[in-house]
Amino acid sequence: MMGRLIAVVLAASAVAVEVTGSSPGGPGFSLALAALIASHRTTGALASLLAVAALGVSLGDGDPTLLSPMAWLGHVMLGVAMGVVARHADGPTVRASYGQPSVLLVGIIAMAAFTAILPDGLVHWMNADGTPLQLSMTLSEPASAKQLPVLVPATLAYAAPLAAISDWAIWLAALAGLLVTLSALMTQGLMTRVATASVVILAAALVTPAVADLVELAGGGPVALPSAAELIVELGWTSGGVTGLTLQSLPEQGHLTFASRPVTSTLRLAIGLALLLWLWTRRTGRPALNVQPVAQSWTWVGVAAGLVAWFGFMAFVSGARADAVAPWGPDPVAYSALAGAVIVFAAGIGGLFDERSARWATALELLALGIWCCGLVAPTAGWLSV
Amino acid sequence: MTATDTESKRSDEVAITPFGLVWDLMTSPVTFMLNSSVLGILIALGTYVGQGMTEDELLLERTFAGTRALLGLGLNDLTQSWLVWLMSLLVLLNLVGIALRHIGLTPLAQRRWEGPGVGYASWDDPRTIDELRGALKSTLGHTAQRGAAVVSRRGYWLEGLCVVSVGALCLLSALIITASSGMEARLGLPGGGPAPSADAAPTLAVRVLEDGMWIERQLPFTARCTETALVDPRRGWRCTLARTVSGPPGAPPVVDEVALNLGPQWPADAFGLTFHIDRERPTPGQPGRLRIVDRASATEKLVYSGPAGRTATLPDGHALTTFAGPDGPLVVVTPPDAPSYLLTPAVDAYAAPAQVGEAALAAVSPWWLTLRASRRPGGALLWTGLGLVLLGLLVLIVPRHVVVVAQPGDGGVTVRAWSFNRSGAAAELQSALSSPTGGTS
Repeated sequence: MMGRLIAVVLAASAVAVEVTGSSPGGPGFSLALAALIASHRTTGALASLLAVAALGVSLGDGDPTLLSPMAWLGHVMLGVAMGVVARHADGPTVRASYGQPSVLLVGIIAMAAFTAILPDGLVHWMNADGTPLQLSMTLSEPASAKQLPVLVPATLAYAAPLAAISDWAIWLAALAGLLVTLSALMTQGLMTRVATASVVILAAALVTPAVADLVELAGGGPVALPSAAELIVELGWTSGGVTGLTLQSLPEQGHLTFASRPVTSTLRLAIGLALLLWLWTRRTGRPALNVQPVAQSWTWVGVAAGLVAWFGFMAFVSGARADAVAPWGPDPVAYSALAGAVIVFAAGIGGLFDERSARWATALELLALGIWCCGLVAPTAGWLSV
Repeated sequence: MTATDTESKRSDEVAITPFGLVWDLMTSPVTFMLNSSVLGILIALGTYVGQGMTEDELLLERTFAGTRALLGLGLNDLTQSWLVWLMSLLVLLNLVGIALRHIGLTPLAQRRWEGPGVGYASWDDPRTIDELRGALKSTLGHTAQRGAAVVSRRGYWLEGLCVVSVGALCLLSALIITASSGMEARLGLPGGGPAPSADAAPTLAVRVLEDGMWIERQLPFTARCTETALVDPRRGWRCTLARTVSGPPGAPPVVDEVALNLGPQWPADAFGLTFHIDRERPTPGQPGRLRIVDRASATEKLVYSGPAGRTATLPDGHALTTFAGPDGPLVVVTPPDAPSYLLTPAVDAYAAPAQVGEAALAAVSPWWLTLRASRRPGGALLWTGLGLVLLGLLVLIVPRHVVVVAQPGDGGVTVRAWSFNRSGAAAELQSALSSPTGGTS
């Protein structure tokens, strides 16, 4: 009940941020929609994690570009699909935390390791009014005596608070994974307690820096920018092999917003909370699950097949025809949407046969949710190819 | 049906055979889901790897190794990626297998693979040798008379053995030729730097593999390699090899010079040898040391040598502060009466140096390179032999082999049958020949 309440509150907040923002819709809205759907008559475990991600992405989405109607429809469909899948996977996932706790925990730890290695060293600096800060500079080639004045966004290296702890998170994840695996094999009380302690430390190593970073971003600044000599080298790094750079007028300070840093802190927070949630459910005991299946399996397969066709069409439609029939495609996010749909389709087919394959199907649904989440946040996090 | 028969039938049903294992694997829903997951993950990479990007565009964003891996797997164009097509095919096969298994069309699942193995059977046949010859002819195709015995065979065991023998001979010859006239040498070279002077020693000390041992030798040519990273997006080395060969009688020696472009995966041939990049590493004892030279004068002048972050001042007053960049040193130049600006001095001897006042700055590569020069004249023979051995093994294993020798005795005919690649073939032949309609099927 508490999980569902948290999910609804956070998701509603994300929707409010999206609706009152400059570009309603998009990744945050999709995740919020998924969280709202997934919170209906479930334990709320997956829904609350989706809602955390939704709020973080909504606050960090600084892209003012309006979505086309087709792209908006695609995001809504993806949100609905994610919600349905999360709702379907919620009960089996919570049951798995009792039936096969180690397997589920190792999966979450693997995701923790993945989020720990995501790059978070660059910050987009902002003006006091929240608009992106830009630096005026001159590109010059002394050999050919050419000069070109340009404006570049102030994207500079700026370590997140408690970054040293985040640097250790990948090793803590490896250690926790090893200890959890060993404790599953040895079934000794001491080993179980050591493994649980390592999971607690890993969760703290994810959550604490993430919260500190989000607090710093919420604070806004101003923060003093590096000196001219350091800045010119920094820009040389980030601009990729220009021959010469001359800064025209150097701002002394910049400001931070949630859009300044990629969504790595939000993802780390969500995964850290998932670890804490796992620990909490182990402590409180088995909850009363009363989850009704959302659909018969063949209906489920049919819906998944439709999603495959729809997202596949948007991902692979030719550029020339895209304007006429699918303004959302070909879009990089469509590949993740298609990938998740393929996996959900496989889960729908594979889960039809027996209990063992149904357990695998749940794992596939979680994988599809992860792929969809990563695909949705990829533009905000700057993971797309330029 | 007795209890023993029932037990035997049950054990046959649960016995794990190679074919049954593959069948179970390919028709398992879990396999289908795992393959679909891999396919989905591959498709998801389309979000992060720009589709349709060229090699040059990928190199701007990723490392050389990462770019080569993406291009090799075709992940920059998912519609053409062999890996995506392979996984799609596997998923489709899984789907068809699941359908066959659960619709009830499972005849293949009941076929058992009985080999490979050696089978032997021997029995006495009451028929005459002529009757048995007819039966063998109708079963195995043809027979031959060897003295009093009748011999018949099926399969290509002898032919396969011949092919394997020829392949083994090729392999042995290749080894002998390579050991007697092949060569392998390691050439340690500093990357970049000033060109060797004209009066430098014309030979290069190398380690050469001779008779299975590495010994110090000298090669009759000089070598000099520089990095090509700044002028060519494909990271590699441009090497200039030069050797002095004696000219016609009375004429001066001729300098034979060859330029090679080498990369981690791009060998090149010169002087009858194949050159590979064997190893790249920072110059010993100088990790993090940056060196900047001034090429404005005829003899290069070292203007900076030290770790990053220090400042050197040129004679005309320009201050140089160096930093380690991703593709070589970065230099912040502070003119005496103008704002600072950034330079990326060339690290390639062939690229134009960066002009600062009267100085022409270039960075000296801190890398040390080991070239591997090899000559393996038996290479073609080696691959031919390997192919023949593989072909011969296929011929030996795949066609079903059986050979039968029927010899007349006192009370009938003694028949002996062997199979060298199917454990049950001899026994099957025995039952076929012993049946009432033996040999007519």
